[in-house]
Amino acid sequence: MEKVRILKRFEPKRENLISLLHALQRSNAENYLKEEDLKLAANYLSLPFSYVLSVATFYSMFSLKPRGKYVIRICESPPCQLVGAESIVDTVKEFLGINVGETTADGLFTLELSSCLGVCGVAPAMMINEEVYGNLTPEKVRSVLNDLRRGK
Amino acid sequence: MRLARSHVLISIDIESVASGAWEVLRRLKQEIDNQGLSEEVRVLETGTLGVSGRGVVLVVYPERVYYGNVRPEDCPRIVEEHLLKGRPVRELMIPEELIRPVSRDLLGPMREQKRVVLENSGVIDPEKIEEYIARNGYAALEKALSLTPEEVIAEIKKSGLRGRGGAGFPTGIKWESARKASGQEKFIICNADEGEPGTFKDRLILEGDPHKLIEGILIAGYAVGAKKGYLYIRGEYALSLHRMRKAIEDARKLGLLGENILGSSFSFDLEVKEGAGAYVCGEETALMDSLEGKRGNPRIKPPYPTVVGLFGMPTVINNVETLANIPPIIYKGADWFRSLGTESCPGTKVFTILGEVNFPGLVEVEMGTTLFEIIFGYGGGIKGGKKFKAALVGGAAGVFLPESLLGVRMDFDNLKQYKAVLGSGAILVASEEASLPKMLHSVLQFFRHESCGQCSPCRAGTKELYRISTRLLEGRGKVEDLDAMIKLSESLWYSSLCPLGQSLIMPVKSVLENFREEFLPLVQ
Amino acid sequence: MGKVRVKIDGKEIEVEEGKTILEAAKALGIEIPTLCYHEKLLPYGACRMCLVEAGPGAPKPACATYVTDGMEVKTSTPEVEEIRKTVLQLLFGERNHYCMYCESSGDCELQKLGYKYGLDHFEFPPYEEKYPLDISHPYILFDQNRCVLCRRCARACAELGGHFVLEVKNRGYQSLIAADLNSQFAQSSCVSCGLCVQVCPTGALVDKRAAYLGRKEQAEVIKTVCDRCPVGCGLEVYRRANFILKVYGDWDSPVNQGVLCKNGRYLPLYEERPRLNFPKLKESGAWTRVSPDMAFKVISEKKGSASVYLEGSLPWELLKAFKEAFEDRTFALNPVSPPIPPSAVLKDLEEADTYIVVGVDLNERYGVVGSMIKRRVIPQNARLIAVEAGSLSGITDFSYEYKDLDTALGEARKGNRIVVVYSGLPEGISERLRVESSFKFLFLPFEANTMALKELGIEHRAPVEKVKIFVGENLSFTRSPGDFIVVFTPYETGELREKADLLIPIPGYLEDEGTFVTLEGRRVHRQKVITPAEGVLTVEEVSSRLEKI
Repeated sequence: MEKVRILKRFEPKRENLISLLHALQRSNAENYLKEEDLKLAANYLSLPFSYVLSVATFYSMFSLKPRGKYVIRICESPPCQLVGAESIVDTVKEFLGINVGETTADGLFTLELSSCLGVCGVAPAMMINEEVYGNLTPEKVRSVLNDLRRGK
Repeated sequence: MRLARSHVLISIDIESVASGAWEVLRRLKQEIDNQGLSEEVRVLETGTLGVSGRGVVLVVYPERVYYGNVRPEDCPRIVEEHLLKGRPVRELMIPEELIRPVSRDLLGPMREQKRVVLENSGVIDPEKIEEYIARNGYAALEKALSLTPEEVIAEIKKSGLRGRGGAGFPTGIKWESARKASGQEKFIICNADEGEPGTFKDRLILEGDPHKLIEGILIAGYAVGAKKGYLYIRGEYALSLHRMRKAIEDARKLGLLGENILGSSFSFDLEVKEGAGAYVCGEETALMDSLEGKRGNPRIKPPYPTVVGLFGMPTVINNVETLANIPPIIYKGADWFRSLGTESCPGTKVFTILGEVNFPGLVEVEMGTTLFEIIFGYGGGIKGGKKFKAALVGGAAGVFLPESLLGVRMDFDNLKQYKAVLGSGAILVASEEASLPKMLHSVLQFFRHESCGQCSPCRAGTKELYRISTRLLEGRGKVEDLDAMIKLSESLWYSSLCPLGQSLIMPVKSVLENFREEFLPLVQ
Repeated sequence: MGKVRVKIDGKEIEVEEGKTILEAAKALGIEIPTLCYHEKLLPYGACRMCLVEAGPGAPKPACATYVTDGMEVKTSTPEVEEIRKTVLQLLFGERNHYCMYCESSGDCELQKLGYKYGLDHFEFPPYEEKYPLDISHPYILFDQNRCVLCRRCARACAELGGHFVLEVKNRGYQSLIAADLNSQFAQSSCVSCGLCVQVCPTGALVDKRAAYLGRKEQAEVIKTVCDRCPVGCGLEVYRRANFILKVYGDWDSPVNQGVLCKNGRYLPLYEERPRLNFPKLKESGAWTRVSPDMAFKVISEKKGSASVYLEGSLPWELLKAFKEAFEDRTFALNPVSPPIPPSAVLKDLEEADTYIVVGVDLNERYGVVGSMIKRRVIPQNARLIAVEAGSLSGITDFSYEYKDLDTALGEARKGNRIVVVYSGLPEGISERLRVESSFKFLFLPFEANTMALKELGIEHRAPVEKVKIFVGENLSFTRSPGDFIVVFTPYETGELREKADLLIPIPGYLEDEGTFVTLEGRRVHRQKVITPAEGVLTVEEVSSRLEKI
């Protein structure tokens, strides 16, 4: 089973829990941790279920709900807020027709707000999965989302 | 390295990639091929070239011509005109003074950037260990191994280096404390969980000069008596994770990590661990818990990490910038380091200038440079010629400084006098048009989101402060709310378990005391 | 362990190293307010109520700060008192802390602190966010809105109970206590040990059955010993009038130190079988009430041909009375002798590095022994080798069937201090275990007073005679034609009405006193806590009547 191969990449020590959860999350098309993933991690590392849930829900990068193919994270911290992050958020909400925390009906996009991403030099900024997009304007945002929609 | 007649360096870092650097690189290489210049012109990918806010940046050597805002369609012209015919394309060049922004109409002599930790960023290919070695890389390690660990610690103590993560604790003393502590094994942890809003200096070192960091960690390990190091990088820094992992692999292949390094009896290995999105994990004890596979809950101090740290063992936790200072100090000597900066805070500091300035980005300058020089000199002053209103210095857990304090010298101790902190060196500049209540709201939202939830004052207090701020912005605030916020932040300062809760007093109190008039229109 | 001198509020004291400020203050008779602190749990230091001034720098949590030589502590400065008030106000505002209709009102540690600090209004508006209640659990109600996130429930579930069911999920102001992978309490792996309710300082975790029926100050708290199994856990039974409100573990009992299991804490209180309230005789197929005199006259007439079958759940006094009346025709319904002679006591469980549990599911029976083992195995401080141990196999990688006993023993031998935990063992298994000279054997007798049966020389035998007297709570037997069956029992089930000829009521759970012999051979005296219906015969009465037949 593919998941077992993922587990085997890590030594069964508790200190590998976070790396393991990252790997398991990435293996799901919907970018989230399924209950079976949490159970697998718990059993592999000999940890109680409640402990694994406790760790998985602590960190912002993990989601226990299915997400879209593209997870949009818009920075809402002071450096981006100061230069117009709010309008970027509004643009995305309007363009995709979803609220923060929601996924588009076609399963393509999930919108999340994030704390500082560490790319403040190009504020306002956002990350879509692992890609960073900076110097955002409403037009640029729409263009990026359109490209992704068309599969580019 | 084959000898080429021209080198083109292109900066590949998160910001340039966000501006389309990969496409430019591809097109550039294609054009060089088309013109048959592949043997004569080498294209190198490097870390940041130190120019921010200019999209994709190229620099052509030996002329040292900088091109900015380069688009793929500009490449045919650059290749044909400049690389083939030797005529730089004026319209795409970045003027000299903007590369080292020194504005001559302003007060006082402007100093150049003093790049110590960033000396290689933008100059070498971070994924090629040979280039690091060519610039005296790992020479400091060699020198350190020829000294005793105690001598290394003495040199660091002599240098007066203080932690660059925000707390400013003397690094030499931290190392000494760990060396003296007893434990079955000891650890070095490099804190690369750069989460302070407005801070990305560590990312540039991780992406641009990974080996300098490895060298610093190795020297720390040798000095303290540790055989294992962990590099905890925040989960969002995908490129940093990739570059550090590659650098570690390369270092291992050359025997710079592992058993009997450089033929000595010193053995050390380094492991990269990723975070998963929690600002609180930048706090050293929370970081250790996260490394151990737990929730990132801060621990009660004492005991201190140098005595009871990772897995209960003596541990030194240093920030990326701190460790990046170690090889230069060992190589060039403590006296050289002391010649830079101020008496109590020697050396340089990387500051990030953000917000409504003309040239947002980062600079590395000597400690003691004034806030004015940084904002108006390197930052190029306020965008659109507007007036300066305030600067949030130190990150979200920082202080709103008014115009009257622009002359303050930036180092740990000077700022304390004004109840401010250097923090991570983030400087967020707000113009007369910025809304400080909204900025404060963003700060409070940040803290509410990032509180770990362990201790009651911070968990309930951050929620409460955010609620009051929301009421103010929605026009339902009362004037008592302003003092209530100050009082609440004071309570959190007194009672919180960790620096996250304790630091709220800085932004809240400073903005409400220095800029109270901005909030009065919001209350009844 | 060295000694250190500390000064608290001007008073000096010398304490052992490794003591906290809170402990040192207690020794001096100085009280410091606490909330997340619990004597039996590792200090957490997170509620920040116990902050004291202890030298320069930030105030320190007294419960989690160890004293150092020369430390000077001030437990009550204006700043510290002010901060305690603010922290309380923040907690009161965080969730639903309207006391008026809360079950815990009067017994609530948060409320007590509120009164102590003179809180008379909400500084921060409360109950803005409403969380759902979890009422799925049969015995426990879980109201997130009353939670102060002290985590005592999660800490007790882990450190004392060893179950690790509860833990906090999410972060910051969104923190909530969750069970397993966020299951409803009833669907989780909770074994209903009830520790969470016992340690919860507020009304977040509440005993469903006792809710709104009486506060601690309206009840009498009686210390006694549990009689559901031979461990002999100390109990604190809350009684109001003649009703048992709830059963708590006695923190001071050296046996269980406050920990209980569902068998002692909940199951007996949820008994559904109808009670037998007076003696009854079946004549011509119909049951009629008879007097005790009449009932014992019937027994007396059959005495010569009758044999007695006793459950090991009965007090010593009753067992002895039957033995003396029926002599060698007195038998035990369940096995008595240990298949392997015991060589360990409960304390050996604390020091073992390897447990091998054979043929007994410690989540179902002997729950407190299960807790003692689980709380060391799950944090990986000891290893568990489970051999046909039912649900216990879920917490170890070393789980075997009887046919693989050799492999199991090989694994066990890797340890240094190995304890075998067993009850009944099948043919052939005990011989192979017995020879392990390096192992210590902790025998769990089948029933609460099996050890008394052994001392009285009553042995196990299956019932064969025509005239049988059964005595116990959970009786089930076959009736053959021509049998005459007398049953002494608290419960009148359909089966008994069908199969018995004479029914005589004896006291049920906590309804009479008696002596029990625990698995370690200690004699403990069980108190009478409530009085049964008038027609029920006491142990004393039965004993004295048996003497005369």
